[in-house]
Amino acid sequence: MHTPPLTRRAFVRLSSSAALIAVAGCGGGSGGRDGPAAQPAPAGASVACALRALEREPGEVRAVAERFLAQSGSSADGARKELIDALDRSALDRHATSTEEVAAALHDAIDADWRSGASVLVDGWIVSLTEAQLTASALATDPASC
Amino acid sequence: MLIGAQDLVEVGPVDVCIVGGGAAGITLARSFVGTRWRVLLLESGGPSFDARTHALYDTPVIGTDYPIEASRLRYFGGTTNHWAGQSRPLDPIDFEERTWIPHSGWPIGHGDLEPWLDDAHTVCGLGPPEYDPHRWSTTLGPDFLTGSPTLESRIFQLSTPIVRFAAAYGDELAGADNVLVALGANASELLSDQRGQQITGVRVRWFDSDHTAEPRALAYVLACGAIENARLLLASNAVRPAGIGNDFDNVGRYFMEHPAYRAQRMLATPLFPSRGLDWTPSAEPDPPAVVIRAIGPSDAAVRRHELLRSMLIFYGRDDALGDEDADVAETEASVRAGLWRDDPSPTREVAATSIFEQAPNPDSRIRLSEQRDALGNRKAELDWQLGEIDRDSVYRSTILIGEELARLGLARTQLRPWVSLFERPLLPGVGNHHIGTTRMSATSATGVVNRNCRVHDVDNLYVAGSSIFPTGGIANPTMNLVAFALRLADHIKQDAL
Repeated sequence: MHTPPLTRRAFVRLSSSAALIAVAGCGGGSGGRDGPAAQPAPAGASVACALRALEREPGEVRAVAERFLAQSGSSADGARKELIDALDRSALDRHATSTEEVAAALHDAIDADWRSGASVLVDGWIVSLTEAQLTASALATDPASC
Repeated sequence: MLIGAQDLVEVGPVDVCIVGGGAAGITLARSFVGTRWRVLLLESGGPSFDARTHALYDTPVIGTDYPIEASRLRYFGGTTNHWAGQSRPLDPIDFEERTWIPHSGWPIGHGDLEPWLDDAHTVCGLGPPEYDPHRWSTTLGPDFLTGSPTLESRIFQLSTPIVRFAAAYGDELAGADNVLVALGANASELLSDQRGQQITGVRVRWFDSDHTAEPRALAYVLACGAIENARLLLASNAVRPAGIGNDFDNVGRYFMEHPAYRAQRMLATPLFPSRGLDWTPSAEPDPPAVVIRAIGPSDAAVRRHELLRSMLIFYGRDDALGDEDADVAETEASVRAGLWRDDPSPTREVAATSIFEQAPNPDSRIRLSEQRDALGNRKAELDWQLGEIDRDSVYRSTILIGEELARLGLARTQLRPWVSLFERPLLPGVGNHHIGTTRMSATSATGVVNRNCRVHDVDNLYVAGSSIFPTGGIANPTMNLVAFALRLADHIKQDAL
C-alpha cells in the first residue's frame, strides 16, 4: 500500500486509549451493499463504483472503521480515496472496471500487505491495511458517481 | 563400581574426575568405559530422590520470577529423571554471530558438532538425526509451509521410551572396572595451584560427617548444570577472589532460558492442518522415531526482520482467556465471518504457545548468595533478566507469524493485550532449560570456556552441559549437550591425557 502505515507500536498505543469496539468484515459472502460481490459493474463504471459494490453496509463496519480512522488520523473519504488510488496504481482501468477486477486487485493488495507487513491491530486482531481501508471506505460520504 | 562419598578418602588419583551425574556426566563417563583411563564420577545424590539432598539445590531468585524448584533433580541421572525427551539439534544459524543480537556467535560452527550428533541421538533414544519436514510427511502430513517466504516447519523427536540416564546406563558404569561412581558426594570447592591455572583436587563433602575428601585427577570436568557449574567456579575463590576462570567477570553471566508465552489467540480456518500440528507425538515405523512438528519464522525471515528465533506449537485447549477477552467478542464474531470475502472463515480456536530464544544478556546471571546450604556451602542466587530485545521480538514475531498465517488463509490472529500494550514486564513460562553462565568464547575476555570446552587460562578444567552455550536457539538442550559431551570426551582422550 502507498499509505505509509503507522509504526506498529504507535498504532497500538493509539489503540489502547480507544474504547473497545467491534470490527466488522468486508465480505464473507453476505451483507454486501449490492448483493453478491461478483456482480459485474455497469459498463464504464469507475473503480469507485466497483469498489462500492464490494463494500459492506456502513452499519456493519462502523465500529472498526471509526476505530481505524481514529488511529490513522484520516477521514472516511480520505481512506476511500487512498484505497482507490492504490487500486488505480495496480493497473486497473479507472473507466472500465468490473467488480471482479476490483476484487482481484483488492485480493492482490491484501496479499501484498501481508507480505510487506502492512498490517494494523484492531482490538488486537491483525488486519491488513487494505482490509482496514476497505472497512473505512464504507463510511465515506462521497458515493462516487454511480 | 558404585561407592559412597566416604569411600573417596581411599581413592587414589584418577585420570578424569567428573562432577555431576546427569546427562553430560554420565555420557562422559560412559565414553571412558573399557579404556585405559580411570574415571571418577562425583554425584551429589543417591540412586533415587531424597529431599535433604535436593534441598542443596535451593537457589534464591531475585530477578524475574522463576520456578526453579521444579527445574532440576539432584540424584543419579540428574534432570534426565524427569526430562520430557524432546530433542532437536541446534541449527547452523544458532552458531552464527547475528549483528542484531549482542553477544551472539560461537567460536565454532555447526559442523564442529555434527560428527557427534548420530551417537548423541542413539544415547538419547532417538531416531536418526533427520529433521527435514518432507522426510516425515507420511507421519505428520505434507509440509503445508513449503514455499512460504516467512514460515517453516520444525521437526522435533521424542525420546521413546524416554531415556532416564541412570536407569539406562547406571549398570554399565557400575560394572566398569575403570569407572568409580561416588554417590552422596557433594563437590564444594575446586582446589588449584597458587596461580589458579591448574586444578589440583575437588573438595567433597557429605551429610552427617565433618570429614572431607579431596580426590585428584589429571583432568576435571564440571557437569552439574548451568547453575551449579557457575556456583562451583565462583565459590572456588581461595586463590582467585573472583573464582576460577573468572578474571573477566563472565562466570555466571548470560543465564538464558526458553521463554514461553501465550502471546496470541488464533482462529483456524478449515485449511489449517488437521494432523501433524496438534503436538501429539506420531510414531514413524521406518526408521523408528517419534516426531512432532512446530512452526516458526524461517532463518531468512529471522535475518530479514532481525528477530530472535522462535517457534509456535499448538496443543491443549486454550484456557487462558479471561475477562480481557470478553469485551471483544463482537470483534471475534466478525473475524470468524471472514475479514475479506475470498478468505476462508475461521471455524475453530487453536491453542498456541510461542517459545523463544532468549537474547544473551550479561545482566541475567548467577551469583553467590550470602545464604549457605546444609553443608555450609554458599548457595547460588538467580537473577534472571529479560531485555527489550526479548520483548520486541515477541511482539514483532507474533505479528509476523499472524500475517503469514492470514496470507496463507490458515488462521487469523489476535495479540493478547499484554503483548500489544507494552505495559507489563515479560512474565513467561519456561522450558526448564538452563543455558549460559559458562559460555564458550574465542577469548577469555568474552567468555569462560574455549572451543574445546576448557576453561580459559586453566590447564585441566573443562565444562560440560548447556552452560557452555553462548546462545540457546530453539532446540531443547539435552541431546545437544550430550553431543558436546561426546565431543569433549574425544578431545580429552586425544589431547588432555
